[in-house]
Amino acid sequence: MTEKKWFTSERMDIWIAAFIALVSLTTAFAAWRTSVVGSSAADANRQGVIDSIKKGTSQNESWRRAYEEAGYATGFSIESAAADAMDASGDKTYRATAKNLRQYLLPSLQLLSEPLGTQEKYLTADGAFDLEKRFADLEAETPDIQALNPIDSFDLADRYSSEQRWLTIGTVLLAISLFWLGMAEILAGRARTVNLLIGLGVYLFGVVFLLIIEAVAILGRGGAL
Amino acid sequence: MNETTPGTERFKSVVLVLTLLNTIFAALLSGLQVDANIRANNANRDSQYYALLVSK
Repeated sequence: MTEKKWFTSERMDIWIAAFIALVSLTTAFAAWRTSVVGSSAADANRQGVIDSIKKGTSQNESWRRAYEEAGYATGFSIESAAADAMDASGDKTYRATAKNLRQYLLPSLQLLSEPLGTQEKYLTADGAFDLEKRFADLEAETPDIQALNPIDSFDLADRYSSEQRWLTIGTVLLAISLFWLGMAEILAGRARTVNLLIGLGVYLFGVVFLLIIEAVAILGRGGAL
Repeated sequence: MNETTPGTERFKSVVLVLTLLNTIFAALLSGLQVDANIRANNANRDSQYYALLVSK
């Protein structure tokens, strides 16, 4: 008699309502977690783009400096050759001009062209400036910028996005179980029990599915939520 | 007066089955929407990244 009472329609109504509430809460939690993961993916993507901009800006600045120094070094060479020519001309006025150049202009140009225009290591075998080498040295001066790797951030974002996809599938499972429980609330007799069991089965499967997804994803990221 | 005919019961059952199918369809559509959104975000990210690479 006690067993029969346990399965009365009224009692079943309460249990089904409680299960629906539980599934609703779990669905809301899963939806929240899916949203958090999506947000983390967006953050990682943004970080990757920011790192790309930083690296790009650094490289542009390094090239600008290399070419700026090359410009001054070229100016120094031209003016130096001009001073030599004026000295060799024998003309007193030209020699005075050459002296002026050597005293004021050339030291300034040499200073501005440093180190590209003054260090031997930046000269190629044919006497040209080795801009690639100067660029590499300038880049080496900013190791923190060079350590940035946008691709790592993009890979992390892809992992988050993959988790988001799977979590969405889990959320769909929970929504389906909610429907079966709703059917159980409407139906009566054997059909009600069958629907209730299907709903609970899908719900439990969905919860286990979500837990496995979370565990695999978190372990894959080395423990990061 | 509250008795329902077999025809009405069958109609209710059909409506319930259709609702079930519609729910599953809506759930699948939601999943596809999330997937499309992720793809759109990734494409947007890649376009920005490639644009930055070109400007270097």
